[in-house]
Formats: sequence, structure tokens, C-alpha cells
Amino acid sequence: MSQIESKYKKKSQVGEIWRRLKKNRAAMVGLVILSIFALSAIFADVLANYDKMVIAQNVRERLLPPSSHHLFGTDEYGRDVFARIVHGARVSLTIGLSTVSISILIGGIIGSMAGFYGGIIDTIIMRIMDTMQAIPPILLALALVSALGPGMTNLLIAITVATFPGYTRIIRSVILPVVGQEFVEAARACGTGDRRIILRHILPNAIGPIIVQSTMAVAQLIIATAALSFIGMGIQPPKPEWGAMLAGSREYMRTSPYLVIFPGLAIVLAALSLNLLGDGLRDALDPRLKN
Amino acid sequence: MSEQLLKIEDLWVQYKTNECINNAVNGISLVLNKGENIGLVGETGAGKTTTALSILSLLPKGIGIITKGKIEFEGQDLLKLKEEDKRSIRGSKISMIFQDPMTSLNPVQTVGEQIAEVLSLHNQSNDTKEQIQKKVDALLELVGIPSKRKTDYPHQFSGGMKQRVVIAIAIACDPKLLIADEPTTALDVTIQAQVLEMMNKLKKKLNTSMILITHDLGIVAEMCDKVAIVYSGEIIEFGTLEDIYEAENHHPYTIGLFGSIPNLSKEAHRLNSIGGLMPDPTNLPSGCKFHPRCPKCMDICKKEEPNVIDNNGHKIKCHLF
Amino acid sequence: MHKYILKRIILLIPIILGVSFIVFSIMSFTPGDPGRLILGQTAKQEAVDSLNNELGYNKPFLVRYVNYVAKAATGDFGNSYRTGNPVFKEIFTRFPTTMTIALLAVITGVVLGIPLGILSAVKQYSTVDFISTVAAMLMASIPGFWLGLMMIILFSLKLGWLPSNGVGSFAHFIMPTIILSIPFAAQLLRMTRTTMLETIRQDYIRTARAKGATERTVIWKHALKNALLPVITVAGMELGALLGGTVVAEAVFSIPGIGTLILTAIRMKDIPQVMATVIFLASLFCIIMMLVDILSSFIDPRIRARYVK
Repeated sequence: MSQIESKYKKKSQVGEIWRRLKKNRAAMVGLVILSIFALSAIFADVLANYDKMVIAQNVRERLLPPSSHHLFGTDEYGRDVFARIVHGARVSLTIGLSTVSISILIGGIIGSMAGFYGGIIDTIIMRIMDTMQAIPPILLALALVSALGPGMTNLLIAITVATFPGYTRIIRSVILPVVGQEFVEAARACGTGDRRIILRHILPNAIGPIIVQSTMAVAQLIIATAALSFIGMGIQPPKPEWGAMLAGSREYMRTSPYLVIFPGLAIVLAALSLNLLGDGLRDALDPRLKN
Repeated sequence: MSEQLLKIEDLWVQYKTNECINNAVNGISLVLNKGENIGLVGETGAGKTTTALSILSLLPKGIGIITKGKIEFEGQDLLKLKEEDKRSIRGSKISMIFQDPMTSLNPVQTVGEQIAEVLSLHNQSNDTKEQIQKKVDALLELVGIPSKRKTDYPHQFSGGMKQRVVIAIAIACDPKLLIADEPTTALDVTIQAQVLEMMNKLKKKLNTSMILITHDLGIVAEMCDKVAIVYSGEIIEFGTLEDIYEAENHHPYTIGLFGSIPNLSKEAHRLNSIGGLMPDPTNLPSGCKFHPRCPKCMDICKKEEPNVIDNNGHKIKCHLF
Repeated sequence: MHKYILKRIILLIPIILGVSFIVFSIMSFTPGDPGRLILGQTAKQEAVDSLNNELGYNKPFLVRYVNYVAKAATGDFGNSYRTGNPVFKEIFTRFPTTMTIALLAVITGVVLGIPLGILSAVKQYSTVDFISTVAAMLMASIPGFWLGLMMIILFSLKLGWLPSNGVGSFAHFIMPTIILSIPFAAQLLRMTRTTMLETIRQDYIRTARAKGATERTVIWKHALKNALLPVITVAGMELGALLGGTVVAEAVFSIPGIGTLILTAIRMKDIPQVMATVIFLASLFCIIMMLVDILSSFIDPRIRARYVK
């Protein structure tokens, strides 16, 4: 008996996943870089005063190349590029995380209803999701921005609308195979309410894939936000956003290429760190796939 | 005097991953004569499938490593052949049937195509396409499937019929040796009986020798001439059917195996089982590998590996004898 | 089989209708009325009101929608507020340019992504695999428009090899195609690698080897067909993203295509133009997905069996 006990002593699941993740060097690098961005976003005001460095224009100091005084140089309005990038981290991460969180919430509710109740509710919901997903996501976001007007809140609404159908599908696909099974019947027989069944028994299985999916989704959202802001449909100046900064840099590409390089690198590093982390999480959650 | 067909000599196989080394096969030796059926019996993880895969060099690349041993077939050491020669033996002189018919067939090819493939791969007599198709038809009829179904896809067949297709592919080139790895485990009991009956018929008709891997002693009794009991990568008992089923002396594990079969005529409160689990292949016990579970364990069992006692062909690896 | 294809074509109609409804609803949130938008800020209120009445602006939402669909069914999607021309005239003028870039990008992406994905999977953990995986990861993290800007700096401004904007020669298409195809190729590479790795582990691959098939046959004949199925589906969906990406690519390289058309229309609040263009691109996407589905059913007999009775 003791032989069996010692073999199957349960290691904490989360601890096990963390252990596996730690072994993945690329994922750890991603985690470190992501933490740097996160800290910049949180402590942005400490690192660079918002009004003085990010917004205030200073014609005398415009278009200065990188120096010890201005780490990444100054832009066409004399604003410190480093300061704007640091505050830009706050904008990008906020939008990315908010969009994903709200999408999971909405998608979770709708997807659970579709999967759990099935029948005509399921059909109607999924047809609506299908139709929404038939519009290429950037176009959907563009149409919404076009109607609502540019700005951070509207951008948030626009990309959330484009994102939540995907989560609806994921959650529904996790619930569907489980719904018919007997342990659900058993739980019902004990008098457990529907909502509790979903929350406590079914959804915990979905957490893994959702976390992996979401990490990479935030990366894509950061890029999408930048793209939309670049074409003028997203965050409006003077708010610092990496894509918007790139839009402003176009005129000065020839003389001041650093204006293009640094905000772009910020986007790449942020997205890369999230992708590396997401990939590592996927391997850590299901190590079978590796060997 | 029967002619020797296959001789496995002191085979050792390991599975190496980044995390650990799994000692799957630890010194297996076996002789199969022409026309014989040998059953390899043992629990899951004993090393039976690994041994079979080693014969055809089908171990997972980079992970399954044959560290020692020799496998003689028709005068050649199979392990030392060039890849092309190994390939020419696979499917034609030695065939293998795997456990799960549901996943053994390619879902996007018709069954006819899959049978034809093995025929064209080993097309010694340079048959034309039509001739190959005729052979496909004949093979399907032989396993009890109407030949007009050769244009159907695997998902259109039931489990039992899929396994028959797998068997048709395996016998297509008249192999001298057929290795069947738990061919009926995944099937219903009634279908099991049908498939086994068909295999018996084919064996008699084509005079194929067979290695049958199973954990079911009943199937062994029906299909095999000789039996090898495998435990933790070793053969701990070997003999003819009479030796294993009726002789006096047995390895304690064998006694445990037979004892686990519920007796229809006696009443029992609980099922008998052999206490404990098969040892962790990454961390094998010292001495006799069965000693932690053996009801007759003695001091010497913990320290020294037992020798093989050969009693007129009936071999037992145990300190008791 | 033909019945299935017909069924899928017919199914397109409700989806496109649904898309039109969604787009119509979204655009109805736009502040301002058509009369004012067409005639401008300085026009007299009476003129604006009478134009609004003429256009049926004051009618209830559903009535307006039904009118829109009814007119659209006859081919009349309205006129651009900006130019006064029928909206589709603008679309069709610019369509060839955008489609050329999109098609070139798709072909490049497929030619780059899929073979590299197969190679990475077959030679797992080798140098090729490592480089491909790293490259794919990088490519998925680089925004296309930034890559475009950097390429302009390097190839147009510093080296002078390629033109930085407009259309006219083949050289004009090179950079836009690259920035569109790279994220697409990256996705295909990752997807193909994953599915190939899974497929190679399947039992029927072991059966094929046990038959004595060469490794090459095993990979190209047995594994590939099975592995490509999910890749095709993903590729179809990525094409939707690619269509959206043309908007950004055209902005970077100042290419007069459908993308810039939409952007201008949005800035000018040219509602009919926005609607028609979005519906057009969405319908194109639906047709592509339908073709992908039909292609899948050709390859996988199990899917075919589900739809053909």
C-alpha cells in the first residue's frame, strides 16, 4: 500500500506547471521582458512626469537624436521619446488586458449559455457569432470606430466587439462535450443549480487553454491597437501610443529614423514577450506535445 | 526437428527522454521455430510491445534505443541491416498488427488503396496494376469482407471489420512471421472470437508463424503452442502450453496471474490480485525484479538475480528452483 | 457532391444578409445626418431637411434597412456622399490593385510557410526547426506596418532600390506583398508544424512504416494529407485578417486601393461607401471560407460523408 501512496502523492498542479515553465528559457525571457513592461506601465508616472515630458511641447528641443539627456531622442514636438514609450506601455497593456478580460466575461456568459442549454438558443447564438466573425476583424473594428468616433473608449469597444465571438466559441466548445455526461446529471440530481454546475465543475477545465489563448491574444491586440492608431483610427494625439507615435514619425523618417525604430521595437518586444510566454505556457500545461 | 525462424538473443532496450531513462527490456531471449505460435503474456508495461517493435526496428526514433542484443532471422541479424533491407522485410517477410484498429488505418485513403500499397511496395513478381487489384479482391474475400467494399474509407467500417482489413494488409505478402500486438483487446468479446477464429484459419492455411502479444490467458490457450511470461522487461517463465497450464512448478508471478482469473464455479468475496504494482522502469529493484511483490520472497531474492532453470524446455527464472 | 456545393452557395445568402444587417446597425450609430453630410455645413436647413426626407432618413430603423437591402438586391448600393458616384464604381476601379497584392501575399505566404513547417516537424529539434520556430515567433510579433516603415527606410531612402509609394511597376508591389505575407507565413508555419508533429505520432503512420514504406512516402503521402486539413481551415481564417491588413499596407505605401478607399470614406463619414466596401470585403471573405470548406471536404472523406447523403 505504501508503495502506491508514495508513487501517487499529489504534487500541487499549479506548482508542477510553474516548474515546467521555469525550465523553458525562452518563456522565462518573455516573462522578464513582460514584467519590465508591466512595471513601466504601473510606475510610468514615477519614471517620467506625464504633463511635462509626455504632453508638453517644446519647440526648441524638437527632433533631437538619442543622447544621455533624452535616452531615445525627442519627437517632432520636442517631447521625450523614452517618456512617451513608457507611458505608451500603460496605454497598450491597459487596452490589451481590458479587451481580453471583457471578452472572456461576455464570451464566457454567452458561450456557456449556448453550450449548456443547447437547442435553439445555441443555434441562434452561434449563427450570430458566425456572422460577426464573417467580417474580417480589422474591418469590424474600423466600422465601429467610424461610427463611434476615435478615442480610447471607443477603440476599446470596437476591438472588444471584434474579439469576444472567438471566446464565445472556445468556452462553448469546452462546455459542449461535458454537458451530456453523467456527472452533470449527478450534480443536478443533488440539487445543484445550473450556474454552479458550470462554474465549479465545467469551466475549470477550460482555464488552461483560455490562458494560453489570451496571452497570445493580448499580443495581437497590442499590434492591432498600434495599427489602428497608426492609420488614425485609434488612440488620438496627444495621448502616447506606440502606433500613433509611428504615424507622427513618417514625415521625419529620413532625418530621424530613431523615431521609427524605438516605438516599433517597443511593440515588437511587448508582443514577443507575450508570445514566448504563451508558447511556454502551452508546453507547460500539456507536456505530452513536446516529446 | 523444427527449423528455427527467429532468434532473439539477450535483447536490451531503453527509452531515453530528457527527463529519465526507461529500462523497458532487460535481457530477453527467445527462439521461434517455423509454424509455431508463441504467446507473449504479461501486464501492461512489461516490455512485450517494445520487444515486438525492436524486431522490425520500429521503435520511436531517437527515443527507443537498443542497447544490446541480436535478432536473428533467416540467418541475418535484423538489427545490423541497412535501412533499405529492413524496409524490404517489413510487411513482406515479417508483418505486424497493432492494437487499436480504430486508429491503425489512414482515414483519407480507401482500404483498397491501403492493401494495394503493401503489395506494390514488395512487388517481387512485377505484377501489373490489374493483377494487384485482383490480389486485393482476393485478400478481402479471404478475411470475410466483400471485395466491392475496397473503395470505402476506414470510417465506414466497424471495429471488427477494420481489424480484418489490418490483417489483410499484414498477410498480403505471405509473411513468414506475423506479430500480433493485442489484436483483439480493443474489440467486443463476440467480435474477438470471430477475429481469432479467422486468424487461426489463416495460420493453418498459410503456415505463418506467429508471435501473439496479449494479457489474456484465455486467448493464449486457444491460439498458442508456447508461452513466454514477461515481467519488467524479462522472460520469467517459458514453456509449452502444457508446461505453463498444467505443470507443477511455476514462477510465483505466473501463479498470481492464473489466480487472478475469477473462477466460475467458486464463490468469492473479492477478486484476487497480485499486490503492488509493476516496478518503475526508471528505477528498477535490485536482485529479482519481482521480489517486492513476491509472496515467497527470500533474502537471496533481494540481492541476486536468479538464474534460469531449464527443465526439459520449461524454463523458470526464480530462486525457488 | 454537387448538392453539397450548391447547398453551401445558397447558405452564403443568409450570412451576407446578416453581415449587411450588422454593418447597417453599426453605421446607424454615426452621428450626423446624410443631408448635412452631403450638402455640407453651409447649406440651408430646409435643403438639408428635404434631402433627408428624400433619402428616407426619418423612417424607422427596420424600414430603412429593408429599403437598403431591396435596393441592393437590384444592384443599387447608393452613391458616395463624397463623390456622388455609385459606390461600386469606386470599389471596382480599385479592386485589381488590392487583389493583386493580396494574392501575391497569399501565394508567398503559402510557399514560405507550409514547406518550412513540414521541414521543422520532420526534423524536430534540428537547426532548421530552431531557426524556423524563432523566425515564426518573431514574425508573429512584428507589426506589418512597422516592418513596412523600416523597409522603406532601408530600401527606399538609404539604398534607393525600391519605390516607397504608389503603383506602377512590379517593384511597387514587392514591399507591400512582403509585409502582408510575412505574418501569414508565420501563422502557416506554426500551424503546419503543430499538425505535422501530431500526425506523425498517429498509429496509422506506424502502420505505414510497418508495411515497409520509405520515410519519404510516409511523410508526403500519408502524413501530409491528414496534417494539411486543419491548416487549410486556419489559412482561410487568416485570409480574413489579410484582407483587413491591406488597409494598413495601403496606408503605409500610399497605394490607391480598396483599403485607402475605406479610410477616406470613414474620415469623410461617407456612410454608403463604408457600408458597401465593408460588405463587399466581408462577402469576399465568406466566399473564400466556403471554398476552403469545399476543399476540405474533397480531401477528407469523413467530412464529405457528413454532408453527402
